[in-house]
Amino acid sequence: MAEIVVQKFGGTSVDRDEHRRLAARKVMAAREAGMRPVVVVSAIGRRGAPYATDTLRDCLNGIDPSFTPNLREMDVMMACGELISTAVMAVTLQSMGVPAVALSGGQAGIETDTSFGSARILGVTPQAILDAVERNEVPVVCGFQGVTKCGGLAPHGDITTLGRGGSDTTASALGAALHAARVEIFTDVDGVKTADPDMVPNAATLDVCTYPELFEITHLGAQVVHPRAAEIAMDYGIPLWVKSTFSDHPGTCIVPDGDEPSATRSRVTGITHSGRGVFFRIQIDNEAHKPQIEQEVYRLMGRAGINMYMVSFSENSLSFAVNRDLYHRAQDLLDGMVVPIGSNPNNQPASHFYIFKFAKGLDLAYSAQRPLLRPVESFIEVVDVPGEVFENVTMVSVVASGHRHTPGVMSAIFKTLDAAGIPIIQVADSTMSISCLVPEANLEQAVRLLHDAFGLSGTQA
Amino acid sequence: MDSIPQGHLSFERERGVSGIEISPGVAHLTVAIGDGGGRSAQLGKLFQSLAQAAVPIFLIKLHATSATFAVETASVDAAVAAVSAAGLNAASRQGLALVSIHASNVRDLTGVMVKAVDALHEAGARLYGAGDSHSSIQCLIEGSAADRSAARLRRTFGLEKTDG
Repeated sequence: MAEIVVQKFGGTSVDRDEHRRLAARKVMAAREAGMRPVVVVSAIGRRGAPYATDTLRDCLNGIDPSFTPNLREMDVMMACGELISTAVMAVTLQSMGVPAVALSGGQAGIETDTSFGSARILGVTPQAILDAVERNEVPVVCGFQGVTKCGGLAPHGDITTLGRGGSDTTASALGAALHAARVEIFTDVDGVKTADPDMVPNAATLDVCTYPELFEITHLGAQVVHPRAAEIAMDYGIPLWVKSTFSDHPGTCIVPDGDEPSATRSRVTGITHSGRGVFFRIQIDNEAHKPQIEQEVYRLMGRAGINMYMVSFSENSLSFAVNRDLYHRAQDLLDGMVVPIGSNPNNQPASHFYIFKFAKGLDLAYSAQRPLLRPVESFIEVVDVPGEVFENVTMVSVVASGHRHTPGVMSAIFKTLDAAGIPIIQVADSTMSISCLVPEANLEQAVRLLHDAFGLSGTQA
Repeated sequence: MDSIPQGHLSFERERGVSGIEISPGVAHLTVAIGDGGGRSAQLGKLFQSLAQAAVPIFLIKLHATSATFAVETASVDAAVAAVSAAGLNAASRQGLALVSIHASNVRDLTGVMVKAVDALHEAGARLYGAGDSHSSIQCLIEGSAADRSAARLRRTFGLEKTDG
């Protein structure tokens, strides 16, 4: 029995007839090599293209801007993009003499939970795919979608979508369910690059990359394959490849940690960038009361659904970043916030009122609320908590496996950026990377300089 | 087709916090850094000196008037000497433990930090430093509070039966 290969083609690989034919040739090449391809496709094109996921979402959102569409109906709408793409790809293959059959996520046996918009795959029953393969047909499966379990209020199951990275996740899930020989993610670059090629034209393509490196690279901004998909491939030991639809480059092979060539261990893998953020630094001088004030900040942000990252604190400060689209909500919540604190945690009433104050222009609520506290100042100490805001920041990361056992990576980063006058606003490190928050205006320069400083231009390993 | 499973397979990982890990034997160093024009030169000297002394550092944070980082206890003396060699002064706090709260894509999960801080507070642990990456939140606490903090965190995140 020939081995199955799952081939996933993203939106830019199926956005026009010429590209779909190139994709079809990859499928034909796999068949000629004696493999049995199972194809997964994304919706056609990106926002603005008539059947792209974002276009379909905009269509429902545009019905009444004051009304938020139900997630269930939104999933029905968004699933149309992959259905159209699947039918178009199947017919493209048929027109080139390749027997093919289009299958929706549900028809392919992908069962999910009921988290509309970001459903999690619970299982795959791939009978329809196996039947097609048995008939020597190429199953062309909708990525990004599944159905809920049949029963209750959904006797035939509800259509769901998988959220970000959904089509990659579909490909890996099918790879696991079908015991595929490999999963190939086709995109518009040759493989996993050492940096964003739009910023660093001479960024190299890695021949081999470990799963931990891939997780780090993808979580920190590179969009070659979604980490959810990589997790499934790693957990099930399925070889994963990242390749280009538009070239014959062999691509990047993703291997388990420990299976990589020794030359690639403890290396700097690449430079990534991610996020558009705003950084807050709040000065809290009373060390005894600081933990309670910090706790109130965390609670406030948590209740408002605002994710904080790059959290850090010193003896007299708390700082953190939030995504820029949440900046005004975060600032509105913090400006003028009053935290009452007793002289000890169980003591009532409060002995101190801490009121948050940002720089002039950002202190509207503070300016309104501060005078209201004057009457209590004779028996409660009112303390200003000054805050600073760094707008327009972003994160540049050096992915370096084993850096915690390799002294000098931080020194090299600091030296490189400092020499160019690029300020590092904050740092975050994991076992695999060091990330620096820098002004967005310096991003491209920072990526290029670090790429050069770590000698990545010629990397091919 | 006998090599291909015919039945139902389930596999995508659970979302949310997946594990609590304690790493004892950590020290935290605070290095005073001026906030004037010499700030970047001081930071440059600090990191260079630590690199030359071959001291691995982590949980690196920059503050308005200081820089902080963590080292393994075995490296404290070398780290303090390297800071001195850079013409700076370090205050070290030893006997700490790094508590890592693991969750895939944790920066997209709302409320993990507040739950973690609340749990540590309830366990009576003081937080001396914190850091985050895409896959974990790290909190530096007293080593003596590590076990009860881990137990409280496991209860908070529903990991009592799955995480030892």
